[in-house]
Amino acid sequence: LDAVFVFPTTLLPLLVLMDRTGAVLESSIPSVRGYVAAVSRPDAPPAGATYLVALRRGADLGPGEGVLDRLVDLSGSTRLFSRNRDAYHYLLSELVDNIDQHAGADHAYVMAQYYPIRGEIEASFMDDGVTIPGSLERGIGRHYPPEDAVQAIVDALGGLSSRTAERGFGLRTSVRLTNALGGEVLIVSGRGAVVAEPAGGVLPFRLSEDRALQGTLVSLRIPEGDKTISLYDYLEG
Amino acid sequence: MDEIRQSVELNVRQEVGSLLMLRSSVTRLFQKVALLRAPSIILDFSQVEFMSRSFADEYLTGRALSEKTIEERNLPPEVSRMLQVVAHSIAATHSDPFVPPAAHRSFELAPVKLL
Repeated sequence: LDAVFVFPTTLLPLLVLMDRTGAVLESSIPSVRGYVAAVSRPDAPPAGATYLVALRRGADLGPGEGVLDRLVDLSGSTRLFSRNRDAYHYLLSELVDNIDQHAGADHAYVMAQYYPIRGEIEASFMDDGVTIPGSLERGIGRHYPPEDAVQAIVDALGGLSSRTAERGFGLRTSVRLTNALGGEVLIVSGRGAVVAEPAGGVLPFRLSEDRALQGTLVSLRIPEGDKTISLYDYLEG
Repeated sequence: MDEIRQSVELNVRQEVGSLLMLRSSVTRLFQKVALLRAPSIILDFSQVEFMSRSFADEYLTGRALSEKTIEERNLPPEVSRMLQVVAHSIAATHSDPFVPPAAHRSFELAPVKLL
């Protein structure tokens, strides 16, 4: 790994690869080497740590309360959290619940890092489930060819759900809230990827076959900023 | 013969926690409710700090399907508001559950790039 700085969005897929194949990540940058070694440890982070890594497999997948509690603890000291407590709780609960409910995944992974100096938090959620297009096909019979995975993600952002209409709000509201907080969202699923920018724009990417993700990654990067928003202004229905 | 109490009160904070976030937590709550012999259950929401949309949806569905009479007590204003939003949404979309209830969000979609 040549990067001089690694974020959860890039590191989590690598940690998953290491976890599943026993691969070893090497870096010539001491700080990156030390960071990867620290976050790869199977035991819980030390008190006061600004990161969280949770890898869950098979029978351990279960309800996500434990992961959520740790995410809430991690964010408890941030300004973002103190100003926008309900919005932050909403984001965490919807994204962990999405994995629990929709993905049909055997494995689920979460990594979050709070950057006190940069004043932002990045949280990545990843699973090895049926992908967003796979979930929509399984749930409502809408077929997306692999090369149209990006359209499935855009449809999910528009409110389409693999289950009932009420469930279509999860991802859409999460993106709206993150954008309202000045943050951005990256969603990668199958051969599709989408970046939802704070200004409301959406950048779609079609991945080549060899770069397809067998599962889904949702990553949020949110600045602490000075904004205070009301969750309830963003709830639809 | 044991006397069956008509009504039993459960403290939601003690059963689930102060942050009501996941659908799976609702499932466990209603499993506990189903095991109670009383026909009427009072759920005390005092000191609950947050209820997610998913939790609210699953809770309202579970309550509607439950064979018991379930009554909420001491609902904090934000929790009450979330329940109202979701109840309204469920009612509005009940006729066609697979159609998104609101218009699709209009995106400023850039041309697709290949990676």
